[in-house]
Amino acid sequence: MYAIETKGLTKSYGKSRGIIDVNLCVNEGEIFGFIGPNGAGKSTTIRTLLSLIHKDSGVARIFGLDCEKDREKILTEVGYLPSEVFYYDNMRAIDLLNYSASFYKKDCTKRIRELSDALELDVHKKIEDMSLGNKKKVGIVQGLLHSPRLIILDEPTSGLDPLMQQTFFELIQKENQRGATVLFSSHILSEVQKICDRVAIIKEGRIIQTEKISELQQNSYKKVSFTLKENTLEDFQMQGAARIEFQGNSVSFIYRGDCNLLLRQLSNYTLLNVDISEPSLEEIFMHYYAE
Amino acid sequence: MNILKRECKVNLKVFLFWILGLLVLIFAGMTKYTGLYGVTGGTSINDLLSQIPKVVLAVFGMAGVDITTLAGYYSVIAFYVLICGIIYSVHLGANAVSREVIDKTYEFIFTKPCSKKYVLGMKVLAGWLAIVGFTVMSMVFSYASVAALGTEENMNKLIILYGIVVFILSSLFYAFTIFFATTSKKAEKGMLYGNLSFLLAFIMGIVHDMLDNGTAIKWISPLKYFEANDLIAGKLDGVFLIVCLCLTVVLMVFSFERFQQNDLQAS
Repeated sequence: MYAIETKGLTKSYGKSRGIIDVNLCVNEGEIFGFIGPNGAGKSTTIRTLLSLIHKDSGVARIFGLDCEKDREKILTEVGYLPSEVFYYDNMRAIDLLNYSASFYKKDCTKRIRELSDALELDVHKKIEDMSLGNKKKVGIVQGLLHSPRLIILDEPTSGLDPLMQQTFFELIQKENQRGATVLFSSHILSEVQKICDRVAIIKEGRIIQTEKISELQQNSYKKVSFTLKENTLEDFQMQGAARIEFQGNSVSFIYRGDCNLLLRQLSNYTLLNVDISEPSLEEIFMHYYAE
Repeated sequence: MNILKRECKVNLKVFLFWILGLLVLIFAGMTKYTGLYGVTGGTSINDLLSQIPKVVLAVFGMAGVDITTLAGYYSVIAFYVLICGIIYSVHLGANAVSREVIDKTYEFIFTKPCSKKYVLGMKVLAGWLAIVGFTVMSMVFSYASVAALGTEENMNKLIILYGIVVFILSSLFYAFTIFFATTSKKAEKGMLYGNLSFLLAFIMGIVHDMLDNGTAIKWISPLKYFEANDLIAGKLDGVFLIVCLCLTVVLMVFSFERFQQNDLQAS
């Protein structure tokens, strides 16, 4: 039995595209990444799984139960962190967390304290007085306080500072070690690569690839740009380099291959500057998956 | 129960404002009766009113009512209370269905392990309790204000009948607004359509008063289902009472079914 299973899941918003024929299988106990550019259909898929919106066709199951027919049963086992956190402003964080806990038939007091301490969250503050990052922390605590079997995270790190992101990843990994399955949706490839076992890539409403993170890393792309100290380069060719662009004495390209070969090639030039970074998902989609 | 408790708490502040307004309206309004009756001697007021165009009297809920009597005068005040009750119920109905979507908090409440119908049901019940509270307080203030006048007249039956009318018609417009809010594509339209339906009913009520034989129009003028003179005579129209109850139930059932099928997302 899969934790999440969709077959031909389709949802459209009138004339606008939502998701088309989405097939996903998330195993119990894995951290599954779900990546794609903004507007690709990640949130639509998640909202369909949570039955916030109704599918047009296809099958959506969580722990073998139908997402629409068995909605309440499923939601007892699910913790959800939406991409944008909106809570009742006039409430203190602790009141919201207790309110959230009151929907589950278990005492969540200890868990609320543990999670709040880990995230350094002042639960006695009013939500309306909190920064986006702190509101996100409230969201994380309310999503995890009942120790759910399935954790659905939609762009969870936005608003969190790098240190807190690290704490958050550790929390998620602990939850996973406890046995929880995690669906981690993001448009940032590096954070998905950091903690996920497998990843599905969605583009324009369709799943275009599902692969293991280890395989994805073997095929990892780098965005390379370098500037020559004096000369202007008119020709540059290298195996694995694509979309080569020249601008004055600067060259930029997307590289896929052995990084040692790349460095060896670059060492042939007298460089003023070199920059090797991760290309955005959009760039990968545009220049590789589109082919 | 947790949702009901929270919704009642959320509604409390606005409820208290309405109750304060109600207190001022009823006490200030009823106090004027002593001045009106004492200074002019009563009959001359009718002469004065007869010179005012009927449409103006209809707008102010005075058409066909003898306001020189305490019962007639009270019925005018009760008409304003009714209008307040309906406007309040429209506000409550729209909030019950759409507030979470407008405030974008729906991803919190509707991902908890309860059915959409249950969440809506608790919100509707909380709003309905506010209507009950509004009605009860309007009756309490009416008793107190009539008692303060120190007249010998027994107004208890009329106050109870008007209490029933305020409750029934407020519940009807509450159901109308919930219906509009669940069937509109945009969440915020529920309040607009609820208010428009009240405005339409108000205008139809005036048209009804202007016509000598407005029986047909009465069916689409809920504000005229229970007329002042009938209530003063101690009669509550059973047919329209059943019409109101049936309409309220049908609109509610349809709205709940519709809400279950609706997609929840901010526009």
